[in-house]
Amino acid sequence: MRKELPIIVTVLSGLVVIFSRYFHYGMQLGLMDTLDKWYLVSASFAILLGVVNMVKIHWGYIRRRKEGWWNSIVLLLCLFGYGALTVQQTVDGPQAAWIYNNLITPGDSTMFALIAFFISSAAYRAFRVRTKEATVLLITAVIVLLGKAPIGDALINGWGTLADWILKVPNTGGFRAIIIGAAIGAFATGFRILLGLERAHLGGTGTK
Amino acid sequence: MIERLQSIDRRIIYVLLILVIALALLKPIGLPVKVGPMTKSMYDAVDALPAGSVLWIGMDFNQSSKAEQYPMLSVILDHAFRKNVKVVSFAMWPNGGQIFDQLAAPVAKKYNKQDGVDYLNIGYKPGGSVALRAMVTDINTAAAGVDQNGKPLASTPLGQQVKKLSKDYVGFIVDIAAGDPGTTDYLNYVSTPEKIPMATAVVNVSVPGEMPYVQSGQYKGLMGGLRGAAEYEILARAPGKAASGMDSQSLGAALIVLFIIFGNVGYLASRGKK
Repeated sequence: MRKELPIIVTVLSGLVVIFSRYFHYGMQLGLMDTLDKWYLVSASFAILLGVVNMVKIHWGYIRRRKEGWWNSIVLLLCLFGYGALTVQQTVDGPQAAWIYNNLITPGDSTMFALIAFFISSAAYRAFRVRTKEATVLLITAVIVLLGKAPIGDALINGWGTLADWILKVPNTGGFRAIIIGAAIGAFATGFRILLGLERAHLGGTGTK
Repeated sequence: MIERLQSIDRRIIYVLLILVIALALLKPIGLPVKVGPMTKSMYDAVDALPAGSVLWIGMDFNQSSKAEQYPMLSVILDHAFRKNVKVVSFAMWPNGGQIFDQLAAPVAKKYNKQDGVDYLNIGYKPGGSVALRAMVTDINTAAAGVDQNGKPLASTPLGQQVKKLSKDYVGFIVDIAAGDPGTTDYLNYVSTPEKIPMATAVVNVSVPGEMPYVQSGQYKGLMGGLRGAAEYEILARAPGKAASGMDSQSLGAALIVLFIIFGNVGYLASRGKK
């Protein structure tokens, strides 16, 4: 029953959603609203489950003195310390807000900003005129890069318009194909889940 | 000698990039910023909202995209408050509610707007797209009855006024998003079925992926990255951090292109020798 029960729950949930979305009577019953409420409660518990799981993993690292175990101590101290602080004084309390504004925000922004440097270095190394395709990629990248910044139009009037055309025409065409492909894939996967053929969400190998 | 241009030490690129960005911030050259059609149509849609109507702002980003998205929120709030449009915000990202509180406070002070009366921060509620969908049925239930700071929604005039995320209560949606959950959820579960017009404000890297929805007319406009925020600042006549960052972005982009050219000159020279 360890596998059968989750499959039965999944199939029933899927059928309830289809019934509620595609049938007039199903819509009137309001089953989707009930399912949504159940999901919201489950999602809230999932946060707790995540915390328990993280504590379990990092406590294991500390106990086994795994390489970098002291990072796990810092993580657990921050998790419970900041959690306790915000419970005591809310997220807008003086110390909680100070930590957020002066440690979390600049730290997070710094991590994101570092991408600019890696991208610069990667662009310099990757964009080479090795093949015809690579040359097209290079030219497109240069047009969009300069065209989406004010310098493009400052250099040549109309550069920005060309960059916009690339985004609106070839890019949109490509993305539409990806979106349609992904939607068909999602439909097929959903159908396989409903038939009990796709079992990746239960763990294990995933397919039957 | 020329071949060496294809193997410039990356630390040189890093140092030059930071120098160029810093220099442009300290000594702006004031390159003109042309307003694009996507930002213009978004601005027009917000501008057309009558006083007293409700603008719903989705806070689906965190502080990592601060440079691009804090100016977006500030300028939209400035525009809405100036037009006496009421603002309700909801976050599917955990830090979204806190960021809204931080940025709304100075703009609200500027226009003498009150929390709960002129704007309402529902804040972060877990559940992602399902929480969003539940807002369509009943905001109070979906938000567990409280706003970002634990204040009962029913105790605020705006909380009493806006009962559902539906066309009857909300005039326009702007989702400021840096990933998933985000704009697609608004499109699938709110904007399209509820027929509420919406626009999106996304980080630059997400712009290509959102373009099909702009072309199909599902988004009434799009604010793309820092450039989009700068264009909106120009339209709203509220110059801020985005406009002042445009020179840095321009020179940074030019430097990257310069290095790409160097790399290719070196590559072609070495290929010619072989």
